[in-house]
Amino acid sequence: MTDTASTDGRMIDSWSAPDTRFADVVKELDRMRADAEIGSTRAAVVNLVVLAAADDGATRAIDSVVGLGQHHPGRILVIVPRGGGGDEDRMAASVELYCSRVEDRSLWWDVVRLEIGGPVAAHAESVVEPLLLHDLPVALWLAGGTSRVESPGLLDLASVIIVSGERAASSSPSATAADLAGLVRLKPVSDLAWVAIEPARQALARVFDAPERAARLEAVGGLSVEGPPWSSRLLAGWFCERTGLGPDRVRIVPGEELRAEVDLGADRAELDAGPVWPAGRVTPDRPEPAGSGPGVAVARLGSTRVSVSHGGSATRRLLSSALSHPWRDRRYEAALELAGRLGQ
Amino acid sequence: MSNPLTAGMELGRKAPPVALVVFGASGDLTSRKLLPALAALSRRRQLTDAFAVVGVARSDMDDLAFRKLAAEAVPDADPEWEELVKGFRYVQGDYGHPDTFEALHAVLDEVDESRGTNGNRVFYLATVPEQFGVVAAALDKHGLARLAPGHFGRLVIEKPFGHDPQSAAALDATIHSAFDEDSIYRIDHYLGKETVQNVLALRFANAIFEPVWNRQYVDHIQVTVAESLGVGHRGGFYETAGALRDIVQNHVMQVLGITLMEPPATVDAQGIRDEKVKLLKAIEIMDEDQVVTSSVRGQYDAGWVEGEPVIGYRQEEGVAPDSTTDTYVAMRLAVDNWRWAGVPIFIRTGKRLPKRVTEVAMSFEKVPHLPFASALTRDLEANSLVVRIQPDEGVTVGFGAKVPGSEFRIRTVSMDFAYGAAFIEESPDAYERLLLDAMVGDPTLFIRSDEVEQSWKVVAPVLSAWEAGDVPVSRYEAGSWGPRQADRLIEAGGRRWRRP
Ligand SMILES: NC(=O)c1ccc[n+]([C@@H]2O[C@H](COP(=O)([O-])OP(=O)(O)OC[C@H]3O[C@@H](n4cnc5c(N)ncnc54)[C@H](OP(=O)(O)O)[C@@H]3O)[C@@H](O)[C@H]2O)c1
Repeated sequence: MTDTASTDGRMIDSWSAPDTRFADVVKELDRMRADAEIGSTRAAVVNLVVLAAADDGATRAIDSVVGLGQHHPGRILVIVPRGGGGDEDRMAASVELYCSRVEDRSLWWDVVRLEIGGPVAAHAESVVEPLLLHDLPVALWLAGGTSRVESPGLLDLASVIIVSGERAASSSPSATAADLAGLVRLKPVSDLAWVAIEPARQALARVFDAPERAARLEAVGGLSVEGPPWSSRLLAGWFCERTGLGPDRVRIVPGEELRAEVDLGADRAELDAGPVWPAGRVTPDRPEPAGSGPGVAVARLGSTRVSVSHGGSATRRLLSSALSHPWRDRRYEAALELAGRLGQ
Repeated sequence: MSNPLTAGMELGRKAPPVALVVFGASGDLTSRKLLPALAALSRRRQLTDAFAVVGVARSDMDDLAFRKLAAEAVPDADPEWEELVKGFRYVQGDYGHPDTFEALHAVLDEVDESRGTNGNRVFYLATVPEQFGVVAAALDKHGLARLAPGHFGRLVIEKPFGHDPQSAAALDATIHSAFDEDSIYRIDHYLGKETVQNVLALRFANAIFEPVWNRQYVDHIQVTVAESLGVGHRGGFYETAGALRDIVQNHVMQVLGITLMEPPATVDAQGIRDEKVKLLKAIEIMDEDQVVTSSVRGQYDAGWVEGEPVIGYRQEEGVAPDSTTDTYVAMRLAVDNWRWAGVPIFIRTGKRLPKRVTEVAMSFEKVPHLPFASALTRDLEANSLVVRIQPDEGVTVGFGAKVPGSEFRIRTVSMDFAYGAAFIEESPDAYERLLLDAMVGDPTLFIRSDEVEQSWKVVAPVLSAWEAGDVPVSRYEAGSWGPRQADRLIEAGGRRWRRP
């Protein structure tokens, strides 16, 4: 499965209103379905609910999800809580209907954006729930950050919670770890930072494939990881949990690109994964920011060199991958527990 | 003599010459449903010139005022409706007073003369239930009920059909003393909905569904009748009814009847209603202990619905502050027949739930063996078939499909078929369909007296156990899917409520 911008869906219909009521949003969705010659049947696999931040991050978050529908058709609901202001009870809304043609099939999805303020922001589930496509899983992406979800009811609705751990880590990794651990206790969590370092983990793991090399993992002396704060800690947390290496033997160094060195006594294993998570931000699809395009993670140990190529770290690709694996990942949960304790 | 020129032509359905007498002409149902439905019938040219409405109520109106009311009830009507309304008549009076019916008699005679309605009448009881018996008896007394051969007099009545089995039987006795069962049309507007009728098409016009419509393939069934509204200004009425009487006794039982009945020999009034009654008779009547373990009675507290804060039931206008009226019901039912033995049927209905939706969902058995690695089918749900009755009528099938790509990963896909999008024809509103059926004389989509009786038999033991205090009232927050007890009811069997 590849995500390329050129096969993005086409917007067929749209509607927006700066001050509207919930019933009008429902009416527009129905009207679009009736008008748009979707045909009588429509396939869907998921509801993606995006809880965005009130700043321009909301726009970036939307940009990064609209094209997702062609791989995960269904409904995308973007909730933007609006703080302050005299008109805070007002609800602004937009609805967009997209279609993508793949050979002789058409795929349809819609994107509903609701900007809500005032007390309803604390009860966002009361506008989200009635808009969900029935019976399908609900992926809740906390694009605005993990620490403060104003409406806990949204978490109850979710089948899986998608987080951008790297974004949250801009405060403090230990706070991020605590927030994420809280979420993991509630629901399966899919962390985009974890998805982004998957090729790096694969490359590093595979240099130890030969049995005599695997044996050397029992005698690791230390680990040094350079990279964005959360990705580097997740990588280290995973490595420690798998090998039993003590957290006190880990050194974390801030950097833009993800690199690691495993101290094996006589020699070392090296990993160079490039810019896995550009500046920890939600990245729009187009134009692709530097470093989010196709890349390769390379690991070396002695004469062995393993490279794992990947489609890049654009937010949409990571989200798409997260949506394809919407269940608990025990490895992640274990890595998370250690990550918060590393490099304090 | 019948017209030889129209032989073999599909002429569409048209009402015969008839006067429609509306008791409750000044009421809510008349303005909101009946008059707009009549306007739609006139737009579709399903009413002839030999048609008139005669309204009867206490409000002080004359013909002109009633015509104004009829015109205002249909704001964007076309000229045909305005023309038709010009022939509407109004009789002012109390149903308890003989003068009212004398006056009605005279007006009907005039209408027969002026509009050519030919002595045919449909009496529509769009009035308060206490008046049903009064009106039926008065019609009989004044010679309006039983007409000379060649003319018809039919009585259309709205729910509630009684308050309990005894009052239902008493009401039946009263109206039967005036009208034959064949002339009584009991309305359940759910039956007028296209999808309910489409269940018949789905089941009996397709070869692929009926073979799996049974205990061998169906794991369980869920019926949801959810409303996002509260009781509004009808608190006083609702206090005497509750969800069990207001929704389960009629709508839910009818939906179950149509969905679970055996194939009728013929799809006509007798065929369908006979099968529905058989099905209702197969629903296990609960004893007191079963009511305790298999029913949940709930009432909403304050909460948030569709982005608005809403008050709790006990704070609603006309509701007692210590009311125990059920605004939510969940039950596990069993149908003891060859087709459904052992298949639990879960029903739930409530006010102030997250959204307005009525659905019947069949959840099928899982396949006996999945020949795929478990990681590849992790999020695969059992197959389901959901018939959505309102708001946007349609059918959804949930099945596993391979995710495109090199891995063989299987994911649940929901394939949604929307009737609205499939056919260009606009579906008629339920009342439009049912009014026309009553005028044409097709009782297929109306409820027969034995169905009412049987539905009460299912509901009555629950009512009495509740009234005896055997099942406490569980509270739920407005905007949630009901009390926790309802989750436990279904989770006890390892299943869970769907998210409709
Ligand atoms: N409204 C709905 O959406 C709805 C839905 C489903 C079923 N129903 C059923 O439909 C029926 C009517 O409901 P509704 O809501 O339309 O009631 P409503 O608004 O209270 O109307 C009652 C009507 O009956 C007339 N009436 C009552 N007592 C009378 C008497 N003694 N003599 C003469 N007229 C009398 C009233 O006339 P005056 O006001 O002029 O006195 C009024 O026209 C009920 O059986 C209800 O359960 C209603």
